[in-house]
Amino acid sequence: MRSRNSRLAWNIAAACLLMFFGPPVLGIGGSILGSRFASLFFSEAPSADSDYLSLSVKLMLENAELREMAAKSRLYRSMLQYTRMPNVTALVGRVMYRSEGLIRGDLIIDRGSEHGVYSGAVCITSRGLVGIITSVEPENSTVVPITSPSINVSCITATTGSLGILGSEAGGRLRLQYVDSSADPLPGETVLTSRFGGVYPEGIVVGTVETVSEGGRGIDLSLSVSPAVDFERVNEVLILIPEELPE
Amino acid sequence: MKERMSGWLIVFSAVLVQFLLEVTLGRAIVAPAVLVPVLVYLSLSRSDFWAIEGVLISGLVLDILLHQLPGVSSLSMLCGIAMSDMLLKITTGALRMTFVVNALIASLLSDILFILLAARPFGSGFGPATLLIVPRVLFPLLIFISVPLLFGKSKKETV
Repeated sequence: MRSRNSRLAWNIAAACLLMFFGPPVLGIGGSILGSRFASLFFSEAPSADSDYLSLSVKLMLENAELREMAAKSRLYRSMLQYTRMPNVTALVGRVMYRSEGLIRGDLIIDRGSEHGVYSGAVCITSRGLVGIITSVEPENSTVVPITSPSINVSCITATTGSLGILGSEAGGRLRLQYVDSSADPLPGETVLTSRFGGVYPEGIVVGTVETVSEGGRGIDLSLSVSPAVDFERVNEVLILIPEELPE
Repeated sequence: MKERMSGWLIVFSAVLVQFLLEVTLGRAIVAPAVLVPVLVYLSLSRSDFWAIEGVLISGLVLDILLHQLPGVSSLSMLCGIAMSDMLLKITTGALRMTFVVNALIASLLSDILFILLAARPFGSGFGPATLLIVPRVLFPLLIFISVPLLFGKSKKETV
């Protein structure tokens, strides 16, 4: 049996060694043990139940994806019904963000000249006319909505055939002006684009007549029109591109 | 062998109590110092094994539990208890309450050495908060003293 003093010295030496070599030994040893025995706690071998579970999750995700594609397909099909001209192709653009505009702001979409978009192309949704593209970048474009004061559209009412020029008024409302007073437009009529403007394809829904009033000059009528498109909730637009681009 | 087993049981219970006190009371130096008095008591009443090997192992276990530098508690307690023994040996022997004095000095020295060794850079841990080790050391010793006084048998009963 060693003396008390020698045991004390040995134990103090052991404590000093522990202080200096303990942290690296614990770190290295812990890493080695962790890498070797981690599989005991985090088993990678899947059981039959977990196989079925992962398969069902995968099928659910696939199902959701297919449902989304079907919904989009329905939407695009309904949008394409408006392209009455056979020589027009359509391109879907997603609205990335809105700029601060006079009424509701311009829409910035993720399609540009690289995708065949040109300045002056008409944009629609499944509900009706959205606006016109005014500037085109390689990968994005700016759509000015018909609620903007700079846009005027030649329109016609669907039932009575009352022709007029559609413009915007304060608050994002639309107004069909310069309608012949001999025409007898009715509230609730659908307003469509006419074939006389030259910019917009004929027959695109623009909105519904709300009220009919006398025009400012007393010889014409002015129609308040409720837009068909909810411009605050437009997420995707269909860009109409003629097969032969205008000069 | 049986005595050794019971000794380890007492030591590891003290380590567990010390660990729980230190993790619940927050700061390592503030919690009451229970382990050193227990080890001093065992070394005085049984053998000096508990003041040397017992201290090394219990200190190491406490360090690992508390994520401290391994060996720092062992070294500070080993040196503290050994220095306390040396101080008591060079006194005249007139000191009464040997266990209490021994445990008090050992605990104080252990804590001072712990602060010295554990802080980086060495010695930078001292400050006004160091005074907290005094109540930390005194509190368990007061309990050690007061329990036999309050609940111990009177002389009349033992006669």
